[in-house]
Amino acid sequence: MSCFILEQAGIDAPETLADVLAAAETIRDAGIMQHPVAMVSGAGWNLAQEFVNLYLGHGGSFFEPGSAAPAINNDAGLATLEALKALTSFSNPDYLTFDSNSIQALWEAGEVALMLHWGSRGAGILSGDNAAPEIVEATVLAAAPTVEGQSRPATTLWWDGFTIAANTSDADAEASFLAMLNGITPERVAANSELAVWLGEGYQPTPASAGVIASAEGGAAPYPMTPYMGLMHTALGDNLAGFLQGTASAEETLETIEAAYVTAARAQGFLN
Amino acid sequence: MKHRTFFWFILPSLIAMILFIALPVGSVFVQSLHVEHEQVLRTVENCGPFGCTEETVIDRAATEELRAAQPLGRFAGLSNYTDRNHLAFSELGVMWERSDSFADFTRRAMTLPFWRAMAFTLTFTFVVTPLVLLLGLAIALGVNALPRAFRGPTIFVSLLPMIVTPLIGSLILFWMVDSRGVLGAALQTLMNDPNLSLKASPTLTWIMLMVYGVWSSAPFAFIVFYAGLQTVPEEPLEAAMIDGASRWQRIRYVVIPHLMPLAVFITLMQLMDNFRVFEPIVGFQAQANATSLSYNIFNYLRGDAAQFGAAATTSMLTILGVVVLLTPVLMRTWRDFNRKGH
Repeated sequence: MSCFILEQAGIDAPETLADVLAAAETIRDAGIMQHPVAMVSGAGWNLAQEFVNLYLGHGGSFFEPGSAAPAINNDAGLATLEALKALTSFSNPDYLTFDSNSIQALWEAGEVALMLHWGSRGAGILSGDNAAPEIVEATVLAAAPTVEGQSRPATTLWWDGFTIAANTSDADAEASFLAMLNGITPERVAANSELAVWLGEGYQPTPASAGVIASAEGGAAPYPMTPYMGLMHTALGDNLAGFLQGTASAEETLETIEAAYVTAARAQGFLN
Repeated sequence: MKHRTFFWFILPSLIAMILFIALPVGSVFVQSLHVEHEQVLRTVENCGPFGCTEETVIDRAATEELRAAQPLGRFAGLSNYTDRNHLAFSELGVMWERSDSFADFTRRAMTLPFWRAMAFTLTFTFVVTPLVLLLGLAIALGVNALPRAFRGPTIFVSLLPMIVTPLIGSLILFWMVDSRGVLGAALQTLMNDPNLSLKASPTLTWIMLMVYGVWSSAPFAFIVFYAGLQTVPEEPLEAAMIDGASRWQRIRYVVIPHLMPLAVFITLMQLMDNFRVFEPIVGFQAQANATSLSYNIFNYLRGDAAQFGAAATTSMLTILGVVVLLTPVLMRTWRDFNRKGH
């Protein structure tokens, strides 16, 4: 969020989804910006990721417990669609083509006031390589908003780790493990704090990681790692745009997404 | 030519065609009849940096056993062709019952990936192909009428859109039509509508993609027609002039009939090329408003679970579509060929 614009409009830093929407409305009504909100809402994978974030924030789960059967056609799904529509109504009309690079550019050009963006982009914006100093100064990274009545921020945590293949020889595995451990010593982590959000000893949070850390502390969920989640993500990405453009109702959209997912999950052997 | 000589003459191309066309198409067809194995799932406790959870994972060893027993996957007959991703007859039936008007039925059918892609692909093909022919001919006639000294540079400039890689060309236009790009901003000022966006409206996106299609393919038609114009004989043109034919009449009754075989050739190439439209959809990030069969194939194959069966089925249907499109043109050529004396 941009603290200068929030001050100019006389609003406190938004914490919930309703706060974000109210702030956007105030900024628009005050005539400061016509399209104050940006999110990674390009049709396809990106838009699906926004749905995943908001849906988990609404307390939803994607599948029937212990099964690959879809379970998004419910109140949380409907509320998520409405939230997406409300947020994108404050976005530039091109929002269905927005990827992570294009909204970062919008921010650096000072054309938006509130942005739901990937935490990994914080460092790039704050480095000031592409943005004017006043934009960098106004940029505040905060936790993803929570949904009313829910506790965890509407976002997912993506993290990297090490893997060693099971068929590696013991000697190679040991050497690789030592090399990788050497790469995350507290000194090395401390020396490279601004490059990533490290999940280990020696890490000092920087302004660039403040949002990610706050979301994690708020109890944000990791991205669901079930094997059929990728198919759900694709089904979401292919079918959300119709709802936002008004060619399909929310109920129809959720039904279409479930039907698309079931077709793919059958062909991939997850459902019969 | 003797049959034996003909056989040895054609053999190298025959081998190449079998290796590089027939076998791959055959293997894609076989793939399209199969779906993945049943995945053996089990629940494990998974501990990450944010706590431990019960998680479902694929039992790799058990799934690997199934895979070794049947490397192609489970045989599924034509189910890939009839499922929701492709012809979707049962889904269309349900939609028909639920709709209160034909427009409502069309709107619902446009959520089915195959029919949605087909709608754009066919519109694109049948709008772009004739426009490319017309524009190509017009540029060729124009360039041919220029003084010799100007022709070289003009030809070079006219060919540029074809030289630009399609993905790069569409990306450049994509930036230009952005609401902050030179064309997008100019349009907003001209129409006096700050919310006008070429990328947001389905209709405008379709028009933009087709304009791009014509822009990038017209040079091909132009250069073929221009080459053809160099072979138009002088005598019938002079005779037509003496008979008092205007410039338009000379073009209509002498030049165009002479160029007809070239027009058939360009039509064939363009029908095939346009039916495979792909790059502009990616370049313009237009998948919210327009998808094509080739885009669907791409979409099935990327992502963390590549859907080979669905991709293979769409590929086969694309080939079938090209055959259906080309048949009338080829039949016409064949009839002309037979008429010309054999």
